[in-house]
Amino acid sequence: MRALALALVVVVAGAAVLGLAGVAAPRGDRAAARDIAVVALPAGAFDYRLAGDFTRDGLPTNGPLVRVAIDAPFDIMAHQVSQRDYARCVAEAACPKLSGPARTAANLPVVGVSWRDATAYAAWLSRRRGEDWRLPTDVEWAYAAGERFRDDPIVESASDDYAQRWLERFDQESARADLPKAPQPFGRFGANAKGVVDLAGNVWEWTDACYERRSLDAAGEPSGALTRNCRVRVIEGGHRMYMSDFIRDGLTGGCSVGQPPTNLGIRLVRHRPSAWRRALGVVGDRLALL
Amino acid sequence: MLNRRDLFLAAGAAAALTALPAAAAEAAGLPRRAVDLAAPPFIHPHEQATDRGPEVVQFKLTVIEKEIVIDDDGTKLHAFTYNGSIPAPMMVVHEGDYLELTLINPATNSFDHNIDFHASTGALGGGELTHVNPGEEVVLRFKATRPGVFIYHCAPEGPMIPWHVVSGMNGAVMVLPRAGLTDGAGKPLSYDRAYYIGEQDFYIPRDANGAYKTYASAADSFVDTIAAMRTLTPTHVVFNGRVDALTGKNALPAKVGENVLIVHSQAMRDTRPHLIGGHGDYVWLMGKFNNPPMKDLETWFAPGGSAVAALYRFRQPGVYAYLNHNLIEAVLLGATAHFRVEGDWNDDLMTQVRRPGPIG
Repeated sequence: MRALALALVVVVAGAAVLGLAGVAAPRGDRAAARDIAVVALPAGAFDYRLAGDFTRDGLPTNGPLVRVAIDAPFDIMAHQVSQRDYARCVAEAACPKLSGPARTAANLPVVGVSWRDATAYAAWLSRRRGEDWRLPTDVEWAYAAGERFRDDPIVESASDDYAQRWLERFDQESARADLPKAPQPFGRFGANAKGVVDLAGNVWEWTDACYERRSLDAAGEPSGALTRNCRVRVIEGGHRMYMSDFIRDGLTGGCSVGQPPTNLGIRLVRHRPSAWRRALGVVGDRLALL
Repeated sequence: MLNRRDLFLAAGAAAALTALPAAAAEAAGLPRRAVDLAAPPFIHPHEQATDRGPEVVQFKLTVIEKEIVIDDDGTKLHAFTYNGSIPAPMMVVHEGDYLELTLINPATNSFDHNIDFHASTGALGGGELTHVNPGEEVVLRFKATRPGVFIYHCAPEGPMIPWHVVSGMNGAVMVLPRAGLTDGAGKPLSYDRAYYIGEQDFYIPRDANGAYKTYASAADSFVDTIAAMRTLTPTHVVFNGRVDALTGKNALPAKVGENVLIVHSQAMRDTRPHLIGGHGDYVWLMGKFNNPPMKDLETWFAPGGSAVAALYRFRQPGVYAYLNHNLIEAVLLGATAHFRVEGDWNDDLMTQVRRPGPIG
C-alpha cells in the first residue's frame, strides 16, 4: 500500500516536471484534477483607489487615486469557486462545513463563506495541486475587474456638514440595485473585457486586504499613523465593503447605513512560480522521495 | 349543547338586537364622509383637531389573498390582507365619530374573513357581525368612544384566528380627541408628519434541510404553519410586511425641527420600539390619548394586541434606525426601519471631539 502511494507520487512529480496540468490527485478522485479555467493577466499598471477609510480635516473623504504596477503576471479563476469544489474540500475535512443544507452544484458559486473558509479552501487547493492559490489582494482584484471595478467615491459635496455627507453616502448606497439572493449559474452576469466571468454580480468576493484607516494631509497624501485591522477584510463586487473575517452572510438592519453584500463567495488567484522556484520545487519533490 | 361559537353567535345576536337600532338613530342625521385609505407607512390626510361635529366616516377594505415575498431570500408567504398591504391601512377618525366600514371578500378568494376592531364596543369588536364568505360584503358601523390608537384584525374562529393574523390581517385605527393631542396638562401637541409602522411576525415552515418551504396554496400551508406557530418562535419579525420594507431607499423622510408621530402596532407579540439616536418626547404608552403621555422615553412598549403612539421632534440630521429593541428581532429577523432626516447638524448636542486614530 505504501509502495503504491510512493509510486503514485513519482508519477505526479514526473508530470509536474513535464508541465502537465492538474494531475496531483489520487486515482479515482478527479476533484483537483480537473483543469481550473483561469484568465492569465499580464504585468501592467493601472489607476487604483486605495481601500480603507480616509479622513481629511476630520471629515470622511475618498481614498487617494494612485497608479499601481502589477510587476508579474498572474492567473485568476475565470469563475468563482463552485459549490461542488468547496464541498470536496469539506469532504476532505480541510474546509469548514457551511451552514444550511449541503449544496453541491457544479455550475453554481459557493456562497455563505467567510474569509476563514475562503483561505482554508485556498490552502487546500494549493496542497492538492502543488500550486500557489491565494485570495487576491485588493489591487489584484481591481486589476482583474477592469471596467467592472466599481469606483464608488464619496460624493464630495460642497458641504462640510458631517450629517450631510452621511446622508449623501446613505443615498448612494440606497440607490444600488437590489440583486436576487439566489446564486445564479456561472455566466449569468457575463464576462468582463479580460474574460473574467460574473465579476460584480450577486456574489461578492473576499480579498486578502485588511481594513485600514488613515488621514490625508492638505495635499491628499496619507499622513499620520496607519490603523490596520486584519480581523476585517476588504470584499469586492458590486461595491467595495469591509467585513469581519468570520462573517458568512453580511446582514443589514440595526446599523443605520450600509447595504450588505448580497452573497459572499470565493475567487482565487494563482501566482506562477519563477523558473528557479519551479526548479527548486522539482528538486524538493525528488528529495522527498529519497 | 352550546359550544363556544354558539355563545359568540348568541352574544352577537343580542348586540344586534339592542345596540344597533339605538346607534343607527344617533348616526342617522350626521354628515357622511368617505375616506380613501393610504397604504402604510403612510396615513390618509386628516385633521388633527377639528371644529366639526361628529360625522359618519366611511372606509372600504377589500380582502386580498395573495402570495408575497417577505425577504431578500425570496421566502414566500400566502398572505391574507386587507387592501393588499401588511399591515392593513390606518383609519383615522375623531372621538364621537362613527366609523363605518364596508368589508368586501371578493369571490376570487378562498376563505371567509371578518374584522375585530379593538376601538369598538360589543359583538367581539364587530367580529361576530362581519363574517363574509367569498363573494360577500358587509357594512359595520361603530361609535368611536375612546381616543387612542387601536388594533384591528381578522378573527374568524379557532386556529383560523392566529393564522389569519400572522398571515397579515391586522391594522390600526386612530381615534383623535376632537381638540387634538395634548401633553396631559393642557398644552396642545401637533405633528408635522405621521407614520404608521405595523410590526408583523411570520412563521414560515422549513423542510428537513432547514430551507423555507413553499406551498401551492394557503390551505396547503396550514398544517405546517400551525406547527411552526406553536413554537412561538417567529422566523421573521418585520415592519411593513417584509424585511427591509422601510430601509435604504424606502427610508421614512423627515426634517430637523419637525414633530413626527410614530404609531406602532403589534397584533400578536410584545414589542419595544426604539429610535437610535433619538427619543420619545411624548409617548402614549398604552396608546390611549385620555392618559397623559410619558416624556423623554428611550424605549417604549406595546403589548401584543395593541398600538402605541410616540411623538418626537427631530433635532439632528442624519440617519436614524427605528427598531424593535430586541436587537435579535431587529437585526436577524428584520424589525428595522430607517428615518432619513434633513437639516443642519447641531454641534452643541453632539461633537466628535477627536476622530478615531491610534491611541496616544
